[in-house]
Amino acid sequence: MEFAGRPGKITGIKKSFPFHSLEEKSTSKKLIWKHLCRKITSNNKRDIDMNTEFLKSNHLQFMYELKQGTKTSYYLTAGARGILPARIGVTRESFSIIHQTGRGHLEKLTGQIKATFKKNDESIYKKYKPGWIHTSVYEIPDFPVFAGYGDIGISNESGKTEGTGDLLILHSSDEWKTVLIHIFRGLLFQKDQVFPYLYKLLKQQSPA
Amino acid sequence: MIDYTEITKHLYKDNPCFDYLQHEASYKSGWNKFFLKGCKEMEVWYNESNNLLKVKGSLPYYWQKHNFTFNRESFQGSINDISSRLKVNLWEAELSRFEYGSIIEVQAKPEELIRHHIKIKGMQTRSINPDAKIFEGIIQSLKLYDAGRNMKNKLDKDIRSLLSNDYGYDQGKHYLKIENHYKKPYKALNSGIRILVNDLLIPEFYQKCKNDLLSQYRNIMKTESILIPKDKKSLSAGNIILLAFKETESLFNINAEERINSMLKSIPEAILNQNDKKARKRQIREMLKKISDPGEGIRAGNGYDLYAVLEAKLMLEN
Repeated sequence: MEFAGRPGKITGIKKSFPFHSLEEKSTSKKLIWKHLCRKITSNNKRDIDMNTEFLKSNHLQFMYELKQGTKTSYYLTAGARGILPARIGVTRESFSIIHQTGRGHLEKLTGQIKATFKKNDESIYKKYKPGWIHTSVYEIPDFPVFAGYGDIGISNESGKTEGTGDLLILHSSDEWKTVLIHIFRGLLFQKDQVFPYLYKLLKQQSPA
Repeated sequence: MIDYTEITKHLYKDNPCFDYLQHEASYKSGWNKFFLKGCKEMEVWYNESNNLLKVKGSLPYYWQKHNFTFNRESFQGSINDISSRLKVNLWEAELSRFEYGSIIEVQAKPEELIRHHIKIKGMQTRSINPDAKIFEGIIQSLKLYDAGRNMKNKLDKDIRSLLSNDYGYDQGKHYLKIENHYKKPYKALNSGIRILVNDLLIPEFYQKCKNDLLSQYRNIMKTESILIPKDKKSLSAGNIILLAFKETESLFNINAEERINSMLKSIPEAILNQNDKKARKRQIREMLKKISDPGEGIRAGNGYDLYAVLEAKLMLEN
């Protein structure tokens, strides 16, 4: 009597791989394993592709330009409307402050983003009064090319700031004349996968 | 550690800030050469028509006035500093050339060690002076030089005493620098894909630099360490030639004794008869035995392969 799933025995694929002799059986087994391994590899590859696709589909990009005569006031010049306010305030920490965060490690604060929606604005981030956005931006040690990252904080029912879990990455190529804000929806805790993805994207987009 | 770097930044609409630059020269090609004020080690080249900015120089010398050590934090500090002076984000600039190497403490004189590092297959060997050697390739070169002498000549007393107090530098000890100079780093390290300055902070990339330094060093053909007989009698002119021949046998993949024996065989009987040949063979065998038997002589150089020392040093570097 043969038991299905016995060690060394491959079941359920006999029809497509008929064995005729012992030698052939051993060769066929090798072929089956090769076939299965190839299948697993291709599935993994698909996972990786899906991951990139997933990151891509959750990625939003906004460009803000510094208002002339100001140091911290920026106006939206590119990117989808109705998500972030048209005017935001971006301050940079002149001296990096080291914070012990709730995530149990020390992080350097590099800046802050503050903005308030207008009365008529509609946005996924405008839920409760006073309708503000407040994000602390922290240094990314392996990727100083970006000014930092943060959790998009919005005002909650009790009027306090509450994290949304949406990852924000701040980037400036021209020493803060323009700033790029990248948002990855719901990916704050996957930030270690997002940073290399965005860096790779930056490398592809910047001129050769 | 990173040393000399050449960074190229393609500028868009933004203009670099010239407040901290000292103009040096203008060229017909459109390039303007500057120095960062107060620091001749760091050159800044700007071409307005091409919208290109280049920053060239030794980051350790710029940042700390020496290149005995240069860690990740210092590297980050130096790039942030130049970026903010120029008002340009250099982290996203391209790394056109750079040097990655390490200074190791060695027992023998660097000059002697360098002499025994002969060649790398496919590269040209250049020796400017006895205490420096370059294995020159198209994409990258490997340099060996006496770092101790370099520091004595280049560094102020104050810096040297700071190195002694903070980094364990000892003026009486010997130091050798082993350094990869990447002329086309994208080809050598990144399969033809360009490298940005930020890549140097990514642990996987930094490890790649370490591994490449080790593998390039391993590629150097080194002479075997041999024993020099203690007694003057054994050091006749003929025996010195034999010592030199023995020393290079591993380089050319030959067996010195076999080569000598076949040479003896080829000498006609009319010149050396069987007994003469036997006598000479015996003498040569005795001499070879003396230089390959430890304990009867002084080992020259304590071994010339520094791979293990370099590997241990790189493991400690961040």
